[in-house]
Amino acid sequence: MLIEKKDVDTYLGMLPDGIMSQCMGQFGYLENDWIVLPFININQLAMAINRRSETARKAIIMTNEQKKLVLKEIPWYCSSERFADYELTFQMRLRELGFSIPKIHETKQGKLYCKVNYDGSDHYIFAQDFEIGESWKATNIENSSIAIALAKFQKLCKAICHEMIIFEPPRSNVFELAQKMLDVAKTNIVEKYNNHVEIENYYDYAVNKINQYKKEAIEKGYFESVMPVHGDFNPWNLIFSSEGTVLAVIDFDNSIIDNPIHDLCEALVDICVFNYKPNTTRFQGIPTNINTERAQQFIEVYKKNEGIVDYELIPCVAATITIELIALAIARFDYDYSDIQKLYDVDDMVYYGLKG
Amino acid sequence: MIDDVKQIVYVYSGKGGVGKSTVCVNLAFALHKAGKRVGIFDADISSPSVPGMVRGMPFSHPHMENMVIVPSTYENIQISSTGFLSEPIDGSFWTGKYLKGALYQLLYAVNWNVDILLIDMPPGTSDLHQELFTHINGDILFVTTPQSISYEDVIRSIDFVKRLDMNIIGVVDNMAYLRCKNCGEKIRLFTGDTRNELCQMLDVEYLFEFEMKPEISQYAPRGIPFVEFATNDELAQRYSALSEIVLKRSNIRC
Repeated sequence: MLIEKKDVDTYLGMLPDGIMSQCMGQFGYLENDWIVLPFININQLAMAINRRSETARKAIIMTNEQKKLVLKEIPWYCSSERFADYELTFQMRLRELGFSIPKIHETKQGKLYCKVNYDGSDHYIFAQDFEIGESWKATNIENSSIAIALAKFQKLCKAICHEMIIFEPPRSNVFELAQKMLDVAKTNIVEKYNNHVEIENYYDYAVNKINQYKKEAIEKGYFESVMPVHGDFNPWNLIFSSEGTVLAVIDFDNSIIDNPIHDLCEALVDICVFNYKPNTTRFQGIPTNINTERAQQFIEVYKKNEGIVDYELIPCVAATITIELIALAIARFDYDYSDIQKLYDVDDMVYYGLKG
Repeated sequence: MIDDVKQIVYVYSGKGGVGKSTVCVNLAFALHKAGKRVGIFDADISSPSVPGMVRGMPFSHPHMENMVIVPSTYENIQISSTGFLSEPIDGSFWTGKYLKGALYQLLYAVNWNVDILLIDMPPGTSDLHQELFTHINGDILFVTTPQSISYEDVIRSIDFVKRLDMNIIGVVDNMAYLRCKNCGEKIRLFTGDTRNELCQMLDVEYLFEFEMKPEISQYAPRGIPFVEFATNDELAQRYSALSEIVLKRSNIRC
């Protein structure tokens, strides 16, 4: 994820009425033609949408004809016309090729997004069909479905790579992203605590490890094979059917040009390493082991479905993503400050757990 | 849907802290004891009080169906409140489109299987009050305490609903007195005279004075309504009498 420090959101994660009204007008709806549904269904439990989605503001809209849409703002860290064009064309093309992406609606002017000037700045918002389904429950069927969906997704991304490159999407890599997230984590901790020796020690350790993993990845040809990637292919950005198959892939805000191993390892680490607080994307507890059986199963299913990655890259990339997610947890204060000393060697645990 | 509910009563006061939610919950349980199917909508979306008052009762957990929140249920009582939801609600802006949407999911589109719905209103006069009072036809049961400081706000709120041409069932004078355990004398802690200073002046009916019962706050942490654990108490009997009046005087909606 490309993260810099963001300004305080005075709307607390909700899309302001003014932005929504302007957007819905661009999609041809009058003010009384629609309402917002603030509560969403997370596995039959009701939750306010701004508690679920913390980086990108969204609203679920219901029209008078009972049609449901998601209005989604392109987040602050990638907010530009160029990125909007890229992200939405990418999704549209994937859908055209038969991949499970909810339909993106065009404005009356035929654009894939609205540009709204509000509170003195430009905002880019798009509308997508609201896909009714279930959140990830970590069942075996769901995990296998993720592997199948990822393999299909990556084959399609490779096929349309040349089309997407024209949009000049951002280029990055897991090592750069992990470094940036570490910087954010350190900044947040230093701001909050007087004594920040622990974070500084972990920071130095983690930077050293990232460089090690990067060296190994370069030797194995990491930068020789790049294409559009999702950038945040974790189970919380997938919608499942009640049978456990992937109904839709959403949230392409972190899409970049990178090695496809990025998405595979993101999925692996999220599914096999980290634990989550119930019905949230927040981490719970320091990871103490890697579920190697689950990881093996995932990779086998992915391979069977003709996955395209270089498997030799898995350990060093997964370990780097582990550091990135640890840094995210620190930055969000998911872990107690006193637990930072327990974070050393988690990346080693992942590295050696996935080697072979 | 809300349109299918035949009787709707708003439990309301212009002033906070007078015991509206306590009166609302106990009235609901009294109506339930009278054999009615009762609904409660906790309209204080930001600061819901009702779930805390019933957490000792075996209410089911609410869930979502078709983007509508199915209320918590215990026997024939249904409660819709943000206080039951899976995550605590933060201090979001419940205004404009979000307010209307929340009301849709929590109230308007809910499949209420009830004879009567009580709406526990937050104090004051706000967007929420205007939205509900102008869109959902119902009758008003006012709650106050006999404190002159309360009366000004209650008077304003009575004026507000009268100008909206809403039917007022009457006024409950809550926490009107404490009864001495030794001699049984009524001790009036507050010096207001609700009957004369408020009701007569505004031509609204004075219904009951309710005793201030220490047991209510003692049992509050257990989440059991007073009428459930003190069935034979005089106050419980007054709630029963209040429930009869409410049933008789609230209009049947077409």
